Amino acid sequence: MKLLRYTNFISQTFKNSISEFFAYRVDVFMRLFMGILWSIIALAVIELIFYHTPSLNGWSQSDITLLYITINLAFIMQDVLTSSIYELNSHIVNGFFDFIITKPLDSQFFCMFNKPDPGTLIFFFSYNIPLSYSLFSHPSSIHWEYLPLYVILVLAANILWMLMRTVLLTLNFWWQKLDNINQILNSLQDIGRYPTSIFPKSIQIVLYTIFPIAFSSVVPVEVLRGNISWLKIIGLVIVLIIFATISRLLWKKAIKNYSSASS
Amino acid sequence: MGKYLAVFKTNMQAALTYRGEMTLWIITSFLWVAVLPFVWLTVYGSQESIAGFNKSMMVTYFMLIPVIEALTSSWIDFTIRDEIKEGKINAFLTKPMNYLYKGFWGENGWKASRPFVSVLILLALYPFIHNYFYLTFHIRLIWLIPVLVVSRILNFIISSIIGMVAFWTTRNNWATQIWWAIQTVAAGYLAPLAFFPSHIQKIISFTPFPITLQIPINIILNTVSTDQIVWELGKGVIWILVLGLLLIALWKKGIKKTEGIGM
Repeated sequence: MKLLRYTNFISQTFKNSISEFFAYRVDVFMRLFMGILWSIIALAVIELIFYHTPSLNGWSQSDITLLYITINLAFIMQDVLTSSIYELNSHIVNGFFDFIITKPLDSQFFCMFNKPDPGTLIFFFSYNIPLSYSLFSHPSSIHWEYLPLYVILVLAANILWMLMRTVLLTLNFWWQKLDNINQILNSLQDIGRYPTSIFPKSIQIVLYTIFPIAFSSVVPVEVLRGNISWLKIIGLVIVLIIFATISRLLWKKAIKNYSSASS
Repeated sequence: MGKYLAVFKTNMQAALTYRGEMTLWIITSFLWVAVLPFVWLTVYGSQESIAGFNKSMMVTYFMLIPVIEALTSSWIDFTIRDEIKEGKINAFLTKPMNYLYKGFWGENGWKASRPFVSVLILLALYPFIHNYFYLTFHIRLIWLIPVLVVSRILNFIISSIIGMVAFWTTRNNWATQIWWAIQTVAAGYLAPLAFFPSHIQKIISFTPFPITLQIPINIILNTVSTDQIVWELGKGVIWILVLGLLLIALWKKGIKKTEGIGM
């Protein structure tokens, strides 16, 4: 019964989002255009780097292109399914959160899934198609036999990013004026576009622990390059469990401390 | 002038009230460029310099980006868009002050303390990057003042033009995105423009972008001649005149069109 309530909620929110999506048809073209525009910028960056060097610490141009694609794919779930979590700060400040906690649904679930954004998929396709074209037009050493493992790791990376963002945005319960806290993760996304080996050891440790960005791009791409490290894959599982636990515990603590801001 | 000074002071006080938010913005602006020095240092490898930039100059270049940005950038398009969208702009039209001047001085007030925080963050980073820090004191530094003024006005005008798009369509995020995308490459956020192939440099030199970031940093690094600074300043003034006229035209047309939705 409880599960049915949650599945009904998800299907209803999707229906609403799709209706809204078709109400703003111009957005379809704009997202398409934006995807292509940003992919051109990404390709320009990669071209510029490889204009000055044949390889980036042993990573070829196609490897870096693959990193760009992978870090982008690691954002699909959070941008399509859980984009509503971005509104948490305004819900708290405007007092809308008071209504959320009275609903017969888990408040964290509601905040994450109440407004999916399927239109974002257009951006993802239009961004990744030119990059994929570039990937295949350069010599690459992709081991296609590891594609299923790559897909699993990218899915795990998606969940990891969702959890990281939820943890970070939950801090809004304590610091409401930090409505730009989300920008930190956007900035960190850039780090995932490059191999961790270009950073000093101390930063590499951070990228596998506190901000485990490496798991969402470098580790899956290394698998496709044929360098499978089971230690890193186990590390990803452990990090996922830790972030899921932190996300839940922090949310519960936040709810306990929450006092209405507007009423 | 007194009323704009009051707007300046009020916004400066507001920025100081929300110190956490301001600091977070500045930290993210450092984070955003933090990855690129590592990328370029890897590209350098054993090379001493690329396009006249040695390693220290290149790292300093990226560390100066957030400082220059704190001084000259403009995000007024977000404010203008929201005020048009919510109908708040009508309230300003009845007030005895110019809407754009109010925006300019308000934003200056909001930004006034940012350069100090940027410099503080830079000082905090200094022990980690002192081997790669390149600063020289030279007479040409005096040119920094007019260049920064022109850059600030130019950024404000361009951002205002983007904001004005909201008179015609309230879903104008695309205009900001296009601006960001082009600016990222053409202003020199990815690398000094000297790193680009010569034909790209030639195209960029005709745009208003170099003076918004590249020229101020080049003045600090002493990699630009006085003749070139004067030329860039002249070009900046011409762009201010052209874009300023466009802004006034858009404002006059937009005001006639606005219906005060949301009032």
